[in-house]
Amino acid sequence: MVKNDRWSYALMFSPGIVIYFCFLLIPIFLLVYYSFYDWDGLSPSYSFAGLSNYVEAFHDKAFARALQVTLFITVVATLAVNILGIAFAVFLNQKGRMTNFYRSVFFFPLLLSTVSVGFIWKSILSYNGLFNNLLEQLGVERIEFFGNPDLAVWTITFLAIWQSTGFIIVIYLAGLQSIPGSLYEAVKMDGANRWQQFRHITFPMLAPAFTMSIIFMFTGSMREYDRVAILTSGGPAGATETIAYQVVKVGFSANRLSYSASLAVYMLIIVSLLSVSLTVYLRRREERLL
Amino acid sequence: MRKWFALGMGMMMVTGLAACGGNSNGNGGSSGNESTPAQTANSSESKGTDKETVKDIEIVFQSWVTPNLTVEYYDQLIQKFESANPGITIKRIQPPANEGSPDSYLKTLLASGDFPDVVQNATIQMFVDADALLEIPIDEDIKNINNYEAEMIDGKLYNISAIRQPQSLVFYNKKLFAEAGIASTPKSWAELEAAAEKLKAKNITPLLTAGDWTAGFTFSVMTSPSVYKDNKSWYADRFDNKVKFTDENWKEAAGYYANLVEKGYFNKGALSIDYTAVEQEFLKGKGAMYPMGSWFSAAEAVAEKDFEVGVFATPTKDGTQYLLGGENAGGYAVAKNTKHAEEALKFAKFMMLDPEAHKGFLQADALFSNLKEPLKWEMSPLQTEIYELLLNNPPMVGHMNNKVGRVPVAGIQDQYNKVAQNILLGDVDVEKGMQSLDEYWDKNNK
Repeated sequence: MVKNDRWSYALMFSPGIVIYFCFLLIPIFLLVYYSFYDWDGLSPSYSFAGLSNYVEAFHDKAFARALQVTLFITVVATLAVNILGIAFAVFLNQKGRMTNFYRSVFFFPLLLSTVSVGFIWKSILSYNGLFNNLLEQLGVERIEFFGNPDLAVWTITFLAIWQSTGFIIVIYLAGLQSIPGSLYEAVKMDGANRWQQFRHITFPMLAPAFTMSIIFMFTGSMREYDRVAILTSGGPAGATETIAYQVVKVGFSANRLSYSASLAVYMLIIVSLLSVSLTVYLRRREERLL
Repeated sequence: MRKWFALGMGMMMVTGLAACGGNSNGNGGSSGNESTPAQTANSSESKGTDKETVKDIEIVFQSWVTPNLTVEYYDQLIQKFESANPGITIKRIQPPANEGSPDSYLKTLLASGDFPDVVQNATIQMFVDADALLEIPIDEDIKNINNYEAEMIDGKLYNISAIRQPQSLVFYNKKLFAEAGIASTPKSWAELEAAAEKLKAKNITPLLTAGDWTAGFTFSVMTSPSVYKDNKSWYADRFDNKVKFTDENWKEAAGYYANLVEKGYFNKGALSIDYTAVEQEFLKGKGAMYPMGSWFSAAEAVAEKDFEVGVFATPTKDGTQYLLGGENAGGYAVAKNTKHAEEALKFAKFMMLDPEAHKGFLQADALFSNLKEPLKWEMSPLQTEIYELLLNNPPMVGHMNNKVGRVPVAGIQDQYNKVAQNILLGDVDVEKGMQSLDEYWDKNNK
């Protein structure tokens, strides 16, 4: 590489580096820095608090509950979206007159903003919403989708699944289209039925797409905020508060920015550890299968 | 450092998580040149109406836009002010989303050095603690406001407001009350229970509430008057550990509320609807009583319905009327670091005290004038009833997250919501709920 090339390469990647530093690394550094203080986010003065925020967060029952809710949404949504994603991708990978139409239909929810989707579903599922009015007309008792603590968590999870499936389908469709047709021809000659084709060819060959989809869903669901804010405001009685929701609430409503920073650092550590472990495991699985 | 942190946190928390967008379009004059109140007062006197000296000054104004206080309302007044004050232009900004108050938006602007010259409807105590607000000189204009001392902090005034906003009101459907044979409105807890029982016997839902903040609000307005009528500085005393939420009076009030829930007087599915929906439920005649603030009367005035709505103060244990609400709360405040303190103060006063602006503000949000010579506006019959209730009421204190002697610890309204929602979910352990309010207080009193 000649010297001029190095400079031109440096020039080309510098905007990316600057953006990465300014909007990712520096905020993360400051997040950690302020988590060791007792700043309320407003006062001109603040003092060093050591590990007290972390100790308090460790014993905070609301935080533990939020972690539990977040993990529930993450695990259920990640599994469900991937199962549905593979199933629909296999269905949509077949040639047919309506295939492109169906692909658009499944992808459509992703084009809508989470906030808009939240308001739409709220008008459908609230106690006097469209769905419950329909139930009443059918003589069925209304359902408290947002008023029952358990059902509210399931409702938010369902909506996360509904909105994310389209994107995951696209990833799996791309994976399916990269599988050589000759592999299917070979197993068909050996007499494999459709389930055996899926089990021994399709699923193993989708390993890279599977890794990407799992990680995408996992990291996205761990940051669940918008739907909670729009649909339930964390209620009823805090039953749907996720970690991200609590970080914002503690920081901006209770004015404890340093404490909320410590919650965010915990979240960062948990998400990093789990996503790195998952990535390592899934990469090894890819190597084993392919 | 804090500036960077705010930018980072603002991006990560607000833009990233809330998807609300970090629209900091306030780039007004908020740097350097601090003005002390004395300087402001002096400059007001010396410069007075000398318009020639004012050259192209821009005042950044954070407005509070609601369905009642529209953009047109502000723009019309701004135009009037600009015409009367050549050389001063007003740049109006507003929070990207209505979150109940502009506080979060203002916090990000403050941290990034873009705090507007004039702010509206902010939590005054919070921004005084942040040393962000200018002390308002007590001049003749201010002395023209009844009870202007109510919102003072450590003997200093930081907001210009001349309004009364009663909040502990129960709106009722006169037709349903007549159907149930209720002749007079309840004044005491026992009378309210008796009325609710009569309504329930007629298969009418006695009381309406909703999830989100409405649950906490309903709980607070139904319980607090019995406690605060005997102690108008309860929050100040709570800071001094003289009183607690687990004291007998509070436990008794919360127990009374839980009893109303337990007896099935509230609407089914309350936690699955929000404020907008419950308001519609009441206006459709699906419930007899609706505890809400005076602002509801603005919606009632334009609603089509086949019944009349009346109002009474939320009953107290012994039947003594005591309304809670805002007494010169909110309003307009001026940034301490504004470059144009005199002009900003002039604009803030104009927005609250100019007769046209004052009247428009009152009418839009169904508020009541707190001037020595109160301005009257065209009130609906319901608003007239509220006005008459106010006449018989001593100066109000706040409740929930508002001042009762002192402003409570930040975010206490979220804990009220949790307690109220737990009760609506059937949790009858009221003492545990009240204890959680004490725990929240102690944990966040830092």
